[in-house]
Amino acid sequence: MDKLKQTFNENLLNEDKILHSINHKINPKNGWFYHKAFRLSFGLMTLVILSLFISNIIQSQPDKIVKTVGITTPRNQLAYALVSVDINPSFELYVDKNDRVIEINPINEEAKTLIIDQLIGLEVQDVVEDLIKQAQDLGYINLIDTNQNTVIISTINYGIDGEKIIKNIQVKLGSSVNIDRSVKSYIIRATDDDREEAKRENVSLGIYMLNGIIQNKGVPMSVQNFVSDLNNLEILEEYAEKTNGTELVEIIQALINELVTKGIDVTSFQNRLNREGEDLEELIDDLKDQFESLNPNTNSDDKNDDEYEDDESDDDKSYEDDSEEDDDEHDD
Amino acid sequence: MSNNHNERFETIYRATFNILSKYVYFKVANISDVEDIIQNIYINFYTYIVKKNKEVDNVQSYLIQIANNELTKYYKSKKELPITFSDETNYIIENIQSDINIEHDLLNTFEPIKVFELVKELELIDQKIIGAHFRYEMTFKEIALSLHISENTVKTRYYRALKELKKLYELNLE
Repeated sequence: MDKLKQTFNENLLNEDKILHSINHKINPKNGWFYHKAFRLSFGLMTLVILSLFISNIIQSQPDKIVKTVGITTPRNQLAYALVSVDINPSFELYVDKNDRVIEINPINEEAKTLIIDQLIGLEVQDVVEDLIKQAQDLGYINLIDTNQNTVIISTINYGIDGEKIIKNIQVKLGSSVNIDRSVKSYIIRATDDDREEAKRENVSLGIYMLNGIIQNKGVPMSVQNFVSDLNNLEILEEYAEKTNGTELVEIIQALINELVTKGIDVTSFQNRLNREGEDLEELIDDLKDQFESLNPNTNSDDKNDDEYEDDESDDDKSYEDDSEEDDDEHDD
Repeated sequence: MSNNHNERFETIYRATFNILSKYVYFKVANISDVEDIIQNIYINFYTYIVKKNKEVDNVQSYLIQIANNELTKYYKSKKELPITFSDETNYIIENIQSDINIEHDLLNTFEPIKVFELVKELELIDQKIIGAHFRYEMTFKEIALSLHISENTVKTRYYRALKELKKLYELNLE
């Protein structure tokens, strides 16, 4: 799928090629864009210094020139979206125009225990999934305690399609077989103002947003404390982004595609997906059950032992029943 | 100060290209015309706003306004009407089931550039659907909204187009 998408990107309305043509028409003699890399003159150095100076002015007075196009990361890169992930480790992910993560900022000490270098360059939804998986494996997410298996994802877009980022994260997490089903993720939209306030209060964006939606003016609550109150959870359910029918279909399709790669016959699942009135959430559960049956873990082995004992007694009983039936048939 | 203009222009270009190009893509049949119109939009923007250091409150809306003007000029010059599709003219009698295997073959086995070239041999509506799905990663629902047809029509045509592409690909191999 990626190669075909890449081919379409390169050959159908290619952003760089069109920019190149525009440049030739705007500056037919100069061709500044493609010659800039080869300039070693004092003029180039002046340009760089001038750009940094002007970008500082733009950042300090964004409303005057162009509204919210891009944000500078801690390492001075230009990002077009920010995704904050609060598990207990908290992270800020800076995203470029191609929805790829260019920088990850661990917000607290726990976050520094996760491996993040290899995630740079991946699409944001893949990074979010990986961080949650790592947190799960390291025990930051407690699968038994429902107060400790909640993930808050806050998104701010700075000039790219924020809807697409949210949708991609929803589909990725919904169709993930790497994250335990008990983990609950909530996506909240935020603004640049929210981020500034969160920085001022010295809390992560997700914590700031949670406390904001219940108008908590006191000491900011952690994610765990927040979700321990059922009233708060109800409000969060209402406030957070909903996974709609289209996303559910994409989640299902992604799970089906994954099963195909494992050589599983997916005809029945596909038929259910095409069937009108099908309960899509139930279908997702059934698909995930299918995955679990492909990879039983040690816990389920113990469970299987118990079932075996029960089954053994059942088998004895059914043998007696069957033998009686056979006798009857024979008579006929 | 023209290098400063160019950097500012490129920032805006990068931030708005996807949305603007999608907008024009669904309104014009011929792809090279789509490219020309997009170029004209940005050249206008550069000439009248960036170069003159003017300010615009909502850049995206402003660009869409320029796009509408360019499209009006384009339709007049070509003496054409905007492309439209409807469910009635695009209804397919046979019920095409989504075929995972064809999609899998097309996406993972066939040569991408050959598939891309063969898309040009499909009906216009199918070209638009396939292009929107792979270039812009749009969902069937989003494509349906952009083309003003039902999601079901989009889905059915999409899978039918994939079958057609597979047939064309295999014919070309012979």
